[in-house]
Amino acid sequence: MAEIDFRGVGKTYGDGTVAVRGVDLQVAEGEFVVLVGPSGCGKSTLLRMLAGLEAITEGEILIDGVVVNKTHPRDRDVAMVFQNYALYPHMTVFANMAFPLRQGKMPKADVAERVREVAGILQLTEHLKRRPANLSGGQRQRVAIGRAIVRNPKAFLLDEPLSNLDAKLRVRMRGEIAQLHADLGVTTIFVTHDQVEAMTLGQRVAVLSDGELRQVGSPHDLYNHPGDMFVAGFIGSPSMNLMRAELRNEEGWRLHLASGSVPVSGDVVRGVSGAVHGQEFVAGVRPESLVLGDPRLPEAEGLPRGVVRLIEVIEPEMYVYVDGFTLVDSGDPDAPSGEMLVARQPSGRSVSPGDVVAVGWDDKNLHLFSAEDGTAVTG
Amino acid sequence: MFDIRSPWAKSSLSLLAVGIAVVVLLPIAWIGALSLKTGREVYKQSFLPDQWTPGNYVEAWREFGLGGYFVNSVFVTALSVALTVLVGLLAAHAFTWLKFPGSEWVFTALLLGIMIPPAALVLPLLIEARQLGLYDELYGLSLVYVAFGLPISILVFRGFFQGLPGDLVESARLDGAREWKILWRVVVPMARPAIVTVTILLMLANWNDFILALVLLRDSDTYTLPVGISQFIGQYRTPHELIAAASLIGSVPVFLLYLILERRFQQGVAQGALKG
Repeated sequence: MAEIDFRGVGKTYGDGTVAVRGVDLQVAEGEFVVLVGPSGCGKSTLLRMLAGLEAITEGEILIDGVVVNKTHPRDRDVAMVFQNYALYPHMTVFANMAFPLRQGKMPKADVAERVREVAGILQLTEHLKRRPANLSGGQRQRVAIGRAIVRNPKAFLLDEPLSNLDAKLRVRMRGEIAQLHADLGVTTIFVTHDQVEAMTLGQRVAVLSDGELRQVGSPHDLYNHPGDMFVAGFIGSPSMNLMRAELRNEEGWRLHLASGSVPVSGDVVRGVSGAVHGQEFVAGVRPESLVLGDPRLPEAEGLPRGVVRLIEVIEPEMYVYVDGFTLVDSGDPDAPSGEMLVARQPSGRSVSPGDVVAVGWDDKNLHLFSAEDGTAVTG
Repeated sequence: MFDIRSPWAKSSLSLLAVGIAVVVLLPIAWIGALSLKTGREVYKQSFLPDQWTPGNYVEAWREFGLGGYFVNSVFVTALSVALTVLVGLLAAHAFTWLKFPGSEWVFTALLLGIMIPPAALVLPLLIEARQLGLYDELYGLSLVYVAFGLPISILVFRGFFQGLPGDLVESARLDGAREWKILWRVVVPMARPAIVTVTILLMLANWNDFILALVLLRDSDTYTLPVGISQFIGQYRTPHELIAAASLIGSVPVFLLYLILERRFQQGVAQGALKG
């Protein structure tokens, strides 16, 4: 087990492309940290730099307090599971799992014993004589994990290990990996582009975008207190609704959107340092925090309104898409942008496409971001 | 549109294949027929011998000391092919997985070797061989074959290696294997089809080479088969039937090895297809 420390780590390729810049991240001994971000954000590069498969062009990486920038991969004592498993196709499952041990000049009997022990943990005992080609996707994945844990490395690095599996198997393997970490307690860094995987597995999650570390925190923190618009948009499914809004003080504070305004309590306004009348913000509200109401009701007076365009029922909920708003791009290429808000409602509600609805939310569920740089200005 | 599966296309393709086979096989059959004729029949116009003389084979073997040439050829070919494959694998491994500054340049420069015909270098090679003490030595000739075989071998190996998943090599590195071990335990077992291809190519070229062996070998004790057989050509009489018999004897090992390796080659390709 080891402590891992990234200090101002950066990677610039020969052609000038910057893949990673200035990443500072400490991973405690035995911790499970997930690196998450859209494809091309530099998360795999960061992991490969830790493994020694990519040269570090800036900063340093420490394993147990020792700078490993120039250390050969084989001397870093970390084990990696690759996206495509990287099993040696001409070797049996046994030989695959024994491979790392055989490099270390371990006596034959000990190798066999250790491989059998790990195979037992991963339910691979009866497949030891088979070749990878004759295994199912889940079994191959287990062999890859087995090859990683067999030599008790200081850390496990997993690079999108579940992305080649079908949905059901992915959920199961996710559980198995979590269980394995709980049992072995080895420092683990897990890379994924899937925020659900990140949120379910990570004790802490580090969100990356464009090669930069945006925020590190517990899944709860990231969801409830996103540090900027990118994290707000990336974490959570469907994404947080991000709308351009103007704060005005006319008989009380209100946030003005294109088609109406929502009252804001003085507490929220006081929480934003230097908030003034006429200031622009990006207002963020999670789909489950949106309240859809009848626009004819007196309490809907002045609230922004829109037209229901589409309803997706995913029992026991439904996603209601409301047209008539201008969404702000969070920077996540996969997040929605355009004119439709999405609200998560219980599936029984009587709403149909074409209905006009008033949209509101509770103050405590409102996230405000700076209109200039997208950083959060409220909790 | 031309549909390759239509009966018309199938039969014309078969016809074409038969035509090519005839063109290729006819000279071999002709040599075969020639090798069974008597000395006087050689210049007769009939294709088949009137009087079958299988004794030509025994005579060619005994009279011309084919056994010695045979041993020399086996030695030179085995040594040169083994060395070329070994060095080629090492070089291709470095060019594929151990990029170093300027490696692309070195690789390109190496490929120039494919474009230079050996015959163009006969004189400089002869001078060089004499100065290095490699003249009239079988291992000297083998080294020259290695030099000429390396560029194509490295090209084929590197092309094949580039098609292998790089994760396997990286994974082995993380598993603690050294480059030497990665090459032998991980890369080579997957590269069998490429190794067979290169072995066949080199074996054919080196076994059949005439010009380099003629220039670099002086003593008839060191002659390889093609040079040895060429000595049958006399000033006043050339025993064509014996030359034909000797040529066929000389082609048997290559033919057999090709048959064996070709089967392996097909197995290798099938295995690769199933891995995915």
